[in-house]
Amino acid sequence: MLTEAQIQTLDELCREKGVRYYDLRQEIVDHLATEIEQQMENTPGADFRSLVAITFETFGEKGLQAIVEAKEASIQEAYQQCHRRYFWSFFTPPKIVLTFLIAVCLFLPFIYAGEKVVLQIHRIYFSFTAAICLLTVSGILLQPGKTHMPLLLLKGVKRKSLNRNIGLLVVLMLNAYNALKKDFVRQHMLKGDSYGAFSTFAMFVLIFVTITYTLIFIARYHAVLKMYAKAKREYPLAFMKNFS
Amino acid sequence: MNKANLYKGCLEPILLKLLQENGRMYGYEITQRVKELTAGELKITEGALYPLLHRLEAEGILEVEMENLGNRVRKYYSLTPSGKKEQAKAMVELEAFKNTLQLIFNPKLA
Repeated sequence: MLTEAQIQTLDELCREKGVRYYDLRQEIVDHLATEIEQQMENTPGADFRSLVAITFETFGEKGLQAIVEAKEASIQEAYQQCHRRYFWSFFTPPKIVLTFLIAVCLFLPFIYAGEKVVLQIHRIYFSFTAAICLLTVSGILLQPGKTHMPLLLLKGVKRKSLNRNIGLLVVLMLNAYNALKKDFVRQHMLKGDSYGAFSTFAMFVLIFVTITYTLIFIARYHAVLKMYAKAKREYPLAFMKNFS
Repeated sequence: MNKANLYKGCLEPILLKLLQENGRMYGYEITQRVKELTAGELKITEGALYPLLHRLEAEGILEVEMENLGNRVRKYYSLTPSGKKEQAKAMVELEAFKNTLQLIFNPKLA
């Protein structure tokens, strides 16, 4: 069995050769260490340094880099697949119908209730969307766990979350902006003319889209949580504070 | 003729078959097992093995299990339930491929 210092040497060499991600490095180090241990058993007294050089050669000149690139590609694929699965799991008939019903329930008072009630609901609705907006931003910025070592498994998750939620953020920001305009409902929606009807319809679309986006965001966040859960399960040390 | 090219397309079924027979294996163990079974005729390079293992893991065909060895961690691969189905399918496809080759190279046996 190789000593702690020898394992550290292998780890450093892997890092120098471009394997900067802790998760992949662990696997490569174990491979190299097992191979070296085997060689030491076959050739007692063999020099560790020369065995390291021989073992590294088996990977080829660009072998390690090729493994890193292939792993990056497969991680991207895994994340896309996970995301796609959660995303499409939203589009089942019961969920679509439920979303539609929620949107209708939230919307009906805008047509039938009095001005006071409408203004009250309007305030509650926009407070809710503002809260969701805040949650979305927090969800993107504060990932569910901080790694102290770079993990290939989580590479780009934050950036991808942001890219995917731009649409949601735009809709939510729009709602938040409208919420700040105190007289929006009174001026537009409660008017009986054609502009008022258009505003009411636009409001319904906005409510429907916001609720749909919110539910999809929850589905997306599931994918992120799943990636972090896998990373924590497989590489708990990478999440420990005093580990580097 | 380069033998490696002939074996290239068979790497995935070989890997799935080994995992089906052995339950769980780690990277180095797979390379050594293949070498041993083929009496050194077939050597799987690390550059071919790991990308394949990682791809199959990403596709949900393989699952992983980490084992602490004291001063390092070992990553074991095993077949998932869908990986077992995939393995059975790969064996059928490989058999069909062998039969097709027989038609060309040894028509009497085919």
